[in-house]
This record gives sequence, C-alpha cells and structure tokens, in this order.
Amino acid sequence: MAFSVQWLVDGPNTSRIEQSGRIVSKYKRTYLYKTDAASPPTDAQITTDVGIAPGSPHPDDANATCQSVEISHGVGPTKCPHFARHVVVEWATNAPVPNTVSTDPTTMRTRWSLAPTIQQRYIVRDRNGAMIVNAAGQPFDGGIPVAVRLGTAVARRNVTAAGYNQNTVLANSGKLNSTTFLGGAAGTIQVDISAEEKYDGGYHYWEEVYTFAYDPLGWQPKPMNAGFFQKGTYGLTRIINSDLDDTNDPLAPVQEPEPLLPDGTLVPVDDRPGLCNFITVDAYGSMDFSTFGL
Amino acid sequence: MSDVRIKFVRDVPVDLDSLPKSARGQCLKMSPAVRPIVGANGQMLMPPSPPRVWHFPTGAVVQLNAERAAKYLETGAAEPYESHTGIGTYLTAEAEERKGAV
Repeated sequence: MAFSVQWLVDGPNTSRIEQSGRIVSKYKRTYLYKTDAASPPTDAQITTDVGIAPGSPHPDDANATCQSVEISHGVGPTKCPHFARHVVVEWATNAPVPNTVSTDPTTMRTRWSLAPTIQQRYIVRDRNGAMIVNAAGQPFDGGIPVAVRLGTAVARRNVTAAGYNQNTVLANSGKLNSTTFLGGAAGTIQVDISAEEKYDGGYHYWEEVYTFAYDPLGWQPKPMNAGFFQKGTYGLTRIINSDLDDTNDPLAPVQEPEPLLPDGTLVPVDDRPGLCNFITVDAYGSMDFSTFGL
Repeated sequence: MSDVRIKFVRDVPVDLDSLPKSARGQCLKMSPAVRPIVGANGQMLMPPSPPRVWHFPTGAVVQLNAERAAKYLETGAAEPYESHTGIGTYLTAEAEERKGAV
C-alpha cells in the first residue's frame, strides 16, 4: 500500500506590480495524488500525504507561502484501489502567514499595534522635571498648554469560549499595572479591554482587544495640594491676602486656592514653586498585567 | 525504501536549503513573539525583532530520508508516523522534462 504525488503542471504563475508599487508573485501548481489504499483517504489525509500545508514555502521561492490547497476530482471518477485526486496548490508572496497549521482561530498569534495619542495638557514642569516659572520665579497660572504624545499599544487575540470569564473584561478595564509592564513603571499603564463573542464554523471563541495607554506621569489623579483654608493652631483658618504679604486689602480672603505644605499650612510665597506639592488620589485599582498572558 | 515518514511532536528549526523540496511543504516561518516596550520619551516602542526562522511545526508530517529522520526520532522531536496510505513517492521533476524523458 502506497501513495504517489506527481507534479502535473505549473501555472498560471504571475508576477504583478500592485498600485502601491509592490511586486507580488503568485504560483499555482497541480499535483496528481494516487493511492492504492483499500478505502478512500479523507481530504486531511490527502493533504498530509501531499505534504504541503498553508503557510509553507514554494519549492523554488521561499518568499511565497502557500495560501490555498484545493482538492478536486480533476481526473474523473476513481475507485479504490485506484483512487486519484487533483491537488491544486497556490502560493503567493503576499499570503498571510499562519501561526500554525490549524483552523482553530484561537491558535492565531497575538497581534500588536502601536500609536501615539495626542492630548492637550497643561503642564507645570518641563520634560526634565523642572518647574516652569517666569522671570520672577513664579509659575504660570494654571500651567502652560502643550500637546503631549501618550503611547498606546493594542493587542488582539482570540480566546476559546470554554471557561471564558466575561466578568473580567469590564472588571479589569481601567486598572493600572501594579508591576512593570511593557517597560512602564507601576501605575503608568492603564488597560481597557473589549471582547466580542464569535461563532465561526465549529469554533466558539471571544475576540479580545487590549488597549494599553501609557502616561509617564501615571494615571492616578494628582491635584495640587492647595485650598482656601490652612491649618492653624485652633483649626482651619481662611487664607487672606496678608498671608501672602499682599498689602492690597490685607484682610480680604484670597480669590484662588493657595498651595499648601503637607502639614496643611500655607506655602510661603518665597518657597514657591519649590515646595508646591501634589496629592495622589487612589482612583483606579491595579493588578499584575502579566496575568493576561499576552 | 530508505524514506521514513515522521510526525513532529514539537517545533524544530530547520535549514530550508538543506531539505529536499518535497519536504519543504510542511515548514512554517516563525517570528519569535515580540512585545512593545515603553521608550525613554514615553512612547511605545517595539524592540528589534529576532530573525524569522523556518521550522517544522508540531504536528507536521514529513517524509525524509532515513538518516535525517533518525536524527529527529533520536532527539524525541518527532515520532514515527504511519497513515493508511503508507510511504509515498514524489515525482517532483518538471512536467515537461518528464515528458521528454518518456
């Protein structure tokens, strides 16, 4: 009992320039498959015997990979033990490359894409961490507007539906990395997850999209430690103009929040902006992103 | 017959040029997984990708000469494979050449 694979004919083979200027070569080859087996082989067995799997290279052009294998009668009716089939194989230099030889969509690779997100932001420090101040050493009111680029990485993958926990999609969205992830320090990467249920053929799976947004300043809100009141000996006292050495209407309350020291007292004007500080708010939960297994 | 059919049980890198053409049809070219990192300027960066390599993927059924097949069998990278169609023969000469020879 044996089989044979006979190269019958080539073509049509083409090499074309696409509109983009890219040259794409395509090859087609027809094989005659014969076996003297007592029972007819399945298509999968024929494909295995021919030995050409999707994604494999063309015998003479390794840059062209197999994009289709078609099994047909071709030679007319055949009966065992004289079973025969035509096997038409097509290769192309622009064929997508599978991760492995499987029709299971969950075996596809995790695919990444990167892009900057442009965001208008008012900054009080430059990129070296130095406070932005005027010639008098005072910060600009409200900071200065700049367009910052925040990195965004998107990962797509398919996950089998068996045992899939949909709750984690929403529960984990918005969380920050608790450990270094993608090179970003803890708290600098925020994840959003979306998932779409798919029924393809006999496969039931979820198509997941992970969007990681990176902000070197971290995602937890950091309002300036400032207010209209300061802590005094007998509780809170309203900050007035004279507290700032402002002789104009010295007893009038200040019209804008004034920066405070960590102990709740006013930052002396002479110590601004050096002693100005921020309060970190724990607004987002965190988790170890490595558990995603991307 | 000196040829042997084997089935790979794990991914094995292979030098494509050293293979008989009839055995190339089971090879896949793989890119090692590369994940983006955050660069010094706050941008996501993709680290340099290692070169892509051809390999026999897990599950590939390949017919090789006995000597080469034995290497894979000895290392446990592959196991003997026997389908109901047995050992095959491949006529890979160009069709017109064969016609002339006949």
